Amino acid sequence: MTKKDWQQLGKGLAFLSPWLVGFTVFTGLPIALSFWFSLCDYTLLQKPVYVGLENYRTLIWGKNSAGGYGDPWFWKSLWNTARFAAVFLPAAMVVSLGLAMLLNLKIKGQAFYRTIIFLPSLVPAVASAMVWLWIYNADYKQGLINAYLIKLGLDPVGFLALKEWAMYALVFMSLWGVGNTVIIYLAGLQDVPRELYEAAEIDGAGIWRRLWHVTIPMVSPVIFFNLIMGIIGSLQTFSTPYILTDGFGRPERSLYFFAMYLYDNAFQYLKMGHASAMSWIMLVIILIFTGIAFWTSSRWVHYQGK
Amino acid sequence: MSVLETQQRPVAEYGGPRVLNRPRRHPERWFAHLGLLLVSVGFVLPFAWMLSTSFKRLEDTAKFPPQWIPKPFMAENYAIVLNHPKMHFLMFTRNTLIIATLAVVGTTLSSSVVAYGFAKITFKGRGALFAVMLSTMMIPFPVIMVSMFVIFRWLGDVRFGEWQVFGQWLGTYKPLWVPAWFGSAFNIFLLRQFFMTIPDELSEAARIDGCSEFGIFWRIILPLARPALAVVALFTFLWAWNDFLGPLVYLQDQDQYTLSLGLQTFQSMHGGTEYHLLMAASVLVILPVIILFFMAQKTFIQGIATTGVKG
Amino acid sequence: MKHVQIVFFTVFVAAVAYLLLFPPAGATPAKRTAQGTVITYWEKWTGLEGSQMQEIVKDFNNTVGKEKGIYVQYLSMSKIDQKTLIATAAGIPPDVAGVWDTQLVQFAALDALEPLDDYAKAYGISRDMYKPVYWDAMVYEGKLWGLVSTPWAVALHYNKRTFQENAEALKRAGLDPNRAPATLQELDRYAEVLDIQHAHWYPEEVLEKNAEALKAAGLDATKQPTTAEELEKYVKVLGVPENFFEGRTLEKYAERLKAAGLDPSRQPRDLPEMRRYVLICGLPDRVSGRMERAGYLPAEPGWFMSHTAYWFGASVYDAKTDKLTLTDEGVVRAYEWMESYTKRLGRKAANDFKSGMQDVFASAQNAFLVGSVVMEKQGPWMVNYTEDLKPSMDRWNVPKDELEREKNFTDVKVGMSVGEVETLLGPGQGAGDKRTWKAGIKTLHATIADGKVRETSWKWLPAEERKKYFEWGTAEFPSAIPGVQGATYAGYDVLVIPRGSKHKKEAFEFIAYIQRQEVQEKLCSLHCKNSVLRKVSKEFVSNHQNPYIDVYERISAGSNARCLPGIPIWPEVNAELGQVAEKAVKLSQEPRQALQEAQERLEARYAEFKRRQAERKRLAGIVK
Repeated sequence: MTKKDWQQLGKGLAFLSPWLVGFTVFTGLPIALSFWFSLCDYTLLQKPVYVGLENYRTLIWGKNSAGGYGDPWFWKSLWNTARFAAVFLPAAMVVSLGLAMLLNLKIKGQAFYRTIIFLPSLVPAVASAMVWLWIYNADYKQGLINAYLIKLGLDPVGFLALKEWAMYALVFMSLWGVGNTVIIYLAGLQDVPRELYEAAEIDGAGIWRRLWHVTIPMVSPVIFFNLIMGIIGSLQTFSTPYILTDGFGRPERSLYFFAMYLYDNAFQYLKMGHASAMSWIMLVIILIFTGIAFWTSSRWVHYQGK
Repeated sequence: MSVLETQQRPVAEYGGPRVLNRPRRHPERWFAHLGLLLVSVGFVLPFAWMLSTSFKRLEDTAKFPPQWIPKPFMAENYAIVLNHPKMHFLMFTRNTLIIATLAVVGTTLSSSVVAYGFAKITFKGRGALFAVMLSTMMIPFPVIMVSMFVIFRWLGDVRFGEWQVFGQWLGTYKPLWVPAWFGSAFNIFLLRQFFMTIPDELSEAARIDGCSEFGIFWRIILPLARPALAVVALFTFLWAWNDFLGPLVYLQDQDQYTLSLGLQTFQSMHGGTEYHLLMAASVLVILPVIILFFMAQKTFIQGIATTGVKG
Repeated sequence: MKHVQIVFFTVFVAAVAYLLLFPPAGATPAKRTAQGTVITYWEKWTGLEGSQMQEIVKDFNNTVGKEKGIYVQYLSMSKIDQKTLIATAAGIPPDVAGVWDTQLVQFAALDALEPLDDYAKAYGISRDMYKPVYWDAMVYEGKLWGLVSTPWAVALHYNKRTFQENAEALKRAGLDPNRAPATLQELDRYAEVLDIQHAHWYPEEVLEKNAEALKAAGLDATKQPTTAEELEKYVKVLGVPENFFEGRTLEKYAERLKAAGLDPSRQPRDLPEMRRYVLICGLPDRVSGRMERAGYLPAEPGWFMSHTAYWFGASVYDAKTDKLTLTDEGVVRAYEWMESYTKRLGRKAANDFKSGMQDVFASAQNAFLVGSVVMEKQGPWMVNYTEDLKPSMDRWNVPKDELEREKNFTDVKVGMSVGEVETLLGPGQGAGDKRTWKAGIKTLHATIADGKVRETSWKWLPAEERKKYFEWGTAEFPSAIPGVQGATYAGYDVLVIPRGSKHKKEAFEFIAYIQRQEVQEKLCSLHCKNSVLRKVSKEFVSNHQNPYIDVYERISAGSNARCLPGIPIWPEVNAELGQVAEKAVKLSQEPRQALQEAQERLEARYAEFKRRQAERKRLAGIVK
C-alpha cells in the first residue's frame, strides 16, 4: 500500500468510526454469539451446550418421522416465505414507484395525498387488522369485497379462511404498507434533473419512454436500495401475519412464515439453538439474493458520482 | 461558506415549484387526480375506522359493517383518555420525546458520517466492511435480543471502585437511544445510495479550494442530501415513537413509560379491552406524527438545489 | 460561521458525554429501599386485570409488607412474559413472576424456577387446602413449582332466550327448552335444531312444480330447506337433489364408501342412502348454503380445542407412562366429533360462517353476544363481555324504567338529600340511617345522616336472584362418556419465583399472601374467576359478578376436572393439535390420519427433548 492508500484508509476508518464502535459494542458481539448459539443446545434458561451441527441437521438434512428430510415446519415456513416474497416483492416495487411518481407530479393537494398514502404506516396494527377483517370478511352481509361479489352474481370467497386465497390476501394487504418505500422513492425522484425530462420531451419521447430512459435509470440507486431492503424485509415478514392469525399462521399454516417459526422456537419452545441456526440459514439465503442483486447492479444501477 | 451559498442559490432562482408548475393542457393531471383519489380512499380506511371508533360507545365498536358516523357521538372519550389515572399522557409524551429526539439527532448525524465514508472515500476493505454492515440487518432481531440485554447489563456493571464507568443502563433510557448514535445499518445504506448520486466534481472542486474531507461532507454533501436526511429523521422518529418491545424490555419503572407502553392500559385479556378508548388514545398518539408529516412532506421535494450543477 | 460550528460541535459533544456519564435516570428501584426489602413482581396482565392486581399489591404493601419490611414493586404489561424470559436468561429475573400455565412445566423442566416445597411447608400451605386439579398442576417431578394466582374453568354457555324462542321446535325434537343439554349427544341435537342455514338444494322450478305435494307435507314451496332436519322432509317429497355430491367428493371418500357397502360411482338414490353417504362424506359444499346461526360450533371461540379430548375421557398425554397418546381412541373420537359439525353443515358454509366472526377482535365481535352462536364453551369471565358490550343480556325482562333507574345509580352523589335521591331512584327501602334501592340487577346502599347521603356503595343482587334476569345460562359442558359428571378443562395463571431471585423468602411471603382465602377471593372476584381454594365463602359465590360462579366452583373442585398435561414440550404439542383441529373442521384431512402424523412428529421431538435434557443434566452434574 502506498502512502496515499494509508491516508485514504485512515480517512475512511475515521468516517466509519461511529459504526465501527457501535458494531463492536452493540451488534457485532450479539451476532457472533448467535452463531455460537446455533451450534449449541441453548434453552435460554440454561447455559448453552455445544452440539456441533446438530441444530442444522435437525432442520435441514436429518431424517424426520415421516421419512423425509429435515424439520417439516421449517421447510413449510421457508416455502411459504419464498412464495410470499416472490409475489410481494415485485408487486411492491412497481406499486411504490408508481405511487411515488404520482405523488411527485406538480398538482394541487399533494400534501394531503402524500400524508394519506403514508397513513397506514402510522396506524396501530390492531386498527389495520380490524379494517382488513372487514374488507375480507367471508360473510357477504358483512364483508366489503364479498358484498360486491354477490352483486356481480359471484360466490362469496373466504379470503382469509381458504389456504388457496390467504397468501394473496396477505400480499394485497401488505401493499398497503408501502408508504415507507414511497417516501424513499419520492426523495429519490428529487435528484432527477428537470432538464432531462424537458430534453426528452423535445425529442418527442412519450410517457413510457421518459419513464424507461430517464426516470428509472436516474432513480436506479434508490430502486436498488429498495430492492435490497425489500428482499430482507419480505423474507423476514413477521408482524402482519402474526397479528392477523394470532401467531398460528392460519389457515392450515399457509401464513406461517419463517420468522414466525423462528420466533416460536426462540420464545415459545425455548429452543434458542434452533432459532439461531434458522437465522443463520436466513442470513445465507438473503446474502445469496443480495449478492446476486449486487452482482447485477453494475449493469443497471447508475451512480452519477462515478 | 461560499460553497454552501452558491449551492443554495439555484433554489431561489428556480423560485421553488412555481416554475415547474406552469400550466399544462395535458389530461394527464386529471388522470393523476383520479388515480390518487381512488388510492387515497383505500389508504385512508384504517385511519377513518380508528377515528370513528374513537368516538363510539364501547358497545357500538362491535357492529359490522362499521358504522362510520358514530351515533351517539362520544367526544368525551378523549377527555376520559386524557384524565385516565393509569395513562399519564403528558409524562409519557415527554418520555417518548426525549428518546425520540435523542435517537433522531444521533442517528441522522452518525449515519450520514458513516455513509459518507462508504460512499465517497475509496479505501482498502471498504467493500468487505460494507458487506458486514449489510449483513447485520439480515439477522432477525429475536436471536440477538437476549445478548443485547446481557450487554446492557454488563455495561452497567463495569466499575472502577464504586464508580459505574458507563453508568446504569438497564432501567434507563440509554439502551433505547445510545445505539442510535453509532449509526444504523438501514440509514447508512440509504444515505450511501443518495450520496453516491452526487457528482464527484463538486467535492473535487472544494478539495482544490482546500476544503477538508469533513468540510466537504458537512458543507457540500449534507445540504444536497436534505430529502434523504429528512427521510432518515422521519423513519427514526417513527420507529422510536412506536417502539414497544425496546421500552418494554429495558424500562423498569412506570414513571419512565413511553406512549406505546401506555396504550396497553386499555387492553385486556378476557373481554375488558376498551376499544373506543384504545382508539381515542391511539389517535392522540399518532396525530402529532401525522401533523409533523404533513408539515414536513415538503422536505422530500427540496432537493432541486442539486439540479443546477448536475445536469 | 466556523466559530459557530465549533461551538455547536463542542456543545454537542459535551452534551453527549454528559448524557452518557450522567444519564437522565428515572426513579430507580434503589430510591424505594427505605421501607425495607424491595422485591420486584412482573405480571403479564394488562389494563383492568393489571390494575386490579395493583390493588392487591397495595393491600400487601400496607399490611403484611409494612409489618415485615417488604415492598413489592409491581410491573404489569401484556407481553411482559418476553421481558421475564429475557431477564431470567440474563440472570437478573424478577423476584416474583406471573407466568402462563403453559410455561410452568416447561420452565420447571429447564431448571429456571425455585422449588417451593419447603416454603409451602413452613407457611402451612398444603394440597388439602386446594382444589386438587390446580394443586396437582403445580407439581412436576414430585416438586412444587408455583402457586396459582387466579384459576378458571370451562363451561357451556347457552342462550336461554334463543332456547325459549325455539321452544316449539325443540319440543318437537323431544328436547327441553328450559334446561341445558345434559349429554353430548343431546347437545348435538339441540345444535341441529337451532342451526339456521340457507341452502340452495332444489331449482326453483322444481319447488314450484311440486308446490301442492310440498304443501300437503306442511312445507313451503317458496323456501329452501334451512336445516338438515328440514332437508330430510323435502327429500321425502322431492327425492334426493340432483348431483347431490360432486364427483370429486365421491372419489375422495371412495374407499370408505366401499367399506360401508356404498357405490362411489353414483349418487345416493333415496333418503336412507343419502343419510349413509352424508355420514361419510359430509353435506356437500356446492349446495350447502350460508349460515345465519349455529346452534353450536366447535371452532367458536376455538380457544379450548386442544383440550376437547377431556370430554371424551381421554388425554393427549399419559403422565404415568410419560407417553404422548394422540392416537388414543378417545382423542380420535374427540376430533371426529369436531369434524362431524362441519360435515353436517357443509365445509364452505361452516368455514365462511366461522371466518365471518373476526378472530382478532374476539372480545367485541363475540358470536355468542351477537346471537349467531347459541351455545359455546367459555370461561367465567364471559360476564365481562356481556356487561361491557351487551348489558341487556344480563337484564332480561327488566322493565325499562327500572333500567333507567339502575343507570341513575352513578348520579347519586354524597351530599344529596334523600329527596333528590328518590327523584332519581324512586322510593327506597329501609329507614333511618341505612337505605337501599333496588333496580335492574343491582342494589344501592346508602348511609344517611341529617337527611343527606353520607356514603354510597352498590352491590349485585344475590347470585340466585340475578340468574333469573340473565338471558344466558351456564352449565357444565356435557361429557361424551355416559355418567361422567363435571368434566372440564381448568386453566390458571401462576406465580413463580424464578431461579436467580435475590429475595426468595420475601417473594414467597407475597405469594403466600395471595393464597389467603380473603385475598384470593377478592382477587378472583375482581378478575371474574373462581377460587383456587377448596374452602369458599358464601359471600364470594353470592356477590360474584358472575352469578353462575357456583357452576365453576363445583366442576373445578370435582374429580373430572383436568388441566394442562404436564409435559415440558406442551407449546409444541399445542401447535400440532391446533393443526389437527383446523384440518378436522376444514375437512382437509381425516382426524385419525392427522393425529397419527402429529403423534409421530411429536414423539420424535419429545425423544429429542429427553435426550438433550439428559445431556444437560449430565453436564450440570459435572460442573457441580
